[in-house]
Amino acid sequence: MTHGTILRILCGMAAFGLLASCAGEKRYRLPVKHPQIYELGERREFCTKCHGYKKEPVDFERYNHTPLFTDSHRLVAYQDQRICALCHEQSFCNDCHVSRTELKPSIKNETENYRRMQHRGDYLSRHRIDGRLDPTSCYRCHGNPRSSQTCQPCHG
Amino acid sequence: MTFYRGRAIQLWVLAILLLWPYRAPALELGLSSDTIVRQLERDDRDGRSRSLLPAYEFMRFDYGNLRTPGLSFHAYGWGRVNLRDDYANNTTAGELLYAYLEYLDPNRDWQLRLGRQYIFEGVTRESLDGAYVKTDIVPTVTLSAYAGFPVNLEDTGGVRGDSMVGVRVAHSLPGRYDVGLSYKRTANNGSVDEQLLGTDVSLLLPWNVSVFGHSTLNLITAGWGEHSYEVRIPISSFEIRPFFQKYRYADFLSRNPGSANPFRVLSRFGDRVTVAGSEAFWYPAENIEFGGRYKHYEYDSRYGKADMYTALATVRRKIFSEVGVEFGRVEGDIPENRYYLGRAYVYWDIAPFFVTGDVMYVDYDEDIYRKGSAFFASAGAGGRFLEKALNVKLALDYSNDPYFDKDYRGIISASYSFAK
Repeated sequence: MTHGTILRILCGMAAFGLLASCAGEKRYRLPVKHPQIYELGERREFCTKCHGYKKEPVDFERYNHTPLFTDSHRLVAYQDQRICALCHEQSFCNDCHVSRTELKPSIKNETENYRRMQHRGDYLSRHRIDGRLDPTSCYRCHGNPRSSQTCQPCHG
Repeated sequence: MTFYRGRAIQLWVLAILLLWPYRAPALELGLSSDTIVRQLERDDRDGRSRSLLPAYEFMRFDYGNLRTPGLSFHAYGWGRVNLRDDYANNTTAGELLYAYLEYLDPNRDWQLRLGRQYIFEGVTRESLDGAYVKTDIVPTVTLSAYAGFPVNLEDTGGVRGDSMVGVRVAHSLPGRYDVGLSYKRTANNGSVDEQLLGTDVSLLLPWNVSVFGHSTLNLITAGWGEHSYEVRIPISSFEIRPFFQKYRYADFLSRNPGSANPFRVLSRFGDRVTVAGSEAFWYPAENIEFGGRYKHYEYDSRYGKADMYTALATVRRKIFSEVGVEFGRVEGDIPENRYYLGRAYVYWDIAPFFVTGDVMYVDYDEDIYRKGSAFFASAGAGGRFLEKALNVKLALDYSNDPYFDKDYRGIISASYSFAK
């Protein structure tokens, strides 16, 4: 696909969006920050607890931190990282999404065992099997030259 | 240590100069420090036992309009020194993970970031030295774009000829759908390293059923690298999330020199992998949750089929006190690719203190280094002081697994947060 084609697709998408917007949809802007969860008292990480199940202006239900949210949050994070940033500083995400760090997330946050972080316990042995069966899940975090430095001492 | 390159320093100086005369009613300061000291023992290649005591510091700095639109500066990085025998063959190590100036328009119509930052945008999850802008140009259209130098490529032959540009256009009708189209181009030493075009979508259907997904087209190999789609079906206190994913290694994995060897090798196989399964959740009460996941893998050419099962249950008392159990089974085509996993953990809050416990047992169908199982246990305790600004934590770990015999490790950490 040529650059010209890509540009035409992007322009077409933008033009479509502009036209669709002429319907005069109401305007909503996210706040800069969500209050710290501790300030709200003893409440779980389910957005719907306070925000309910209304789908407008933001469908907060999709951001509920289910027990497997660590594994599947990319689907919603790809679409609007600003929702994540309401509660999480970039440093929080950098525990996993990072150019290079020596401490795996489960060691950096050793006592936060409720977060179900990747690679907890004896992952060195398990990764031989998980890596053979599902290398795409390794690649998401260890795929670039700096983050793959974790792999290179053994794998080259 | 890797910190700033020459050109970046100029950017930070400019950033500080811009910030200095800025007059705003509510400038805030935030400081966060995590000091972590690990204790562990490792044998070197000569069989000599080494007692290691690496000390880490993770520090974050935020200043400016942190809770209101306006100008703000954010920085975060880590460093390590060895307090005893050499660790990782380096006396020191460290990295500046981000340092950027951010401006958010008073009407929150657009935002601009300058400096080192992590970009999460459509097909992009990359660290960038450069500029990022995002704007809601009209109520339902969002445009974001970035350009700069990819931090991840700076060590593979210097930064000359490195670049990264990208854009995402999204249209959304709240309560109905969001659809985005994104593009990313990365160059390394003057040649194109990666060129991706991606789509992402979320769609709300009747009865609160939602569809999420994304697809990524590799423009260099002209093939689809990934399709990932998921349907979320809430039924009272249940939720079922069937999903479907398809990957083609040749288009998804990088075969470039900087990539780790397994990815380069796999990318040449051109295998196609189809993953299908479902997550399911059940919340019988506000403080109880059950979850499960089944994933079925099918490969076009390498390995037979594989299945992964996960089941877990959690009981909570208030927000952080929690007890949980997890069971897992990985069943590949041959015994070498099979194991059972069991885990139980507790985190109990007794303000201002807390205690933690975690045990994990893995049973491998085929021995790894003549061991058929792995056991891991961790016990921890901590306390929050100075109105929760200071957290002190201690953890002791034990593991006995194919790689380590009776391995004891200790971690003590102090986390301090300051905000004014």
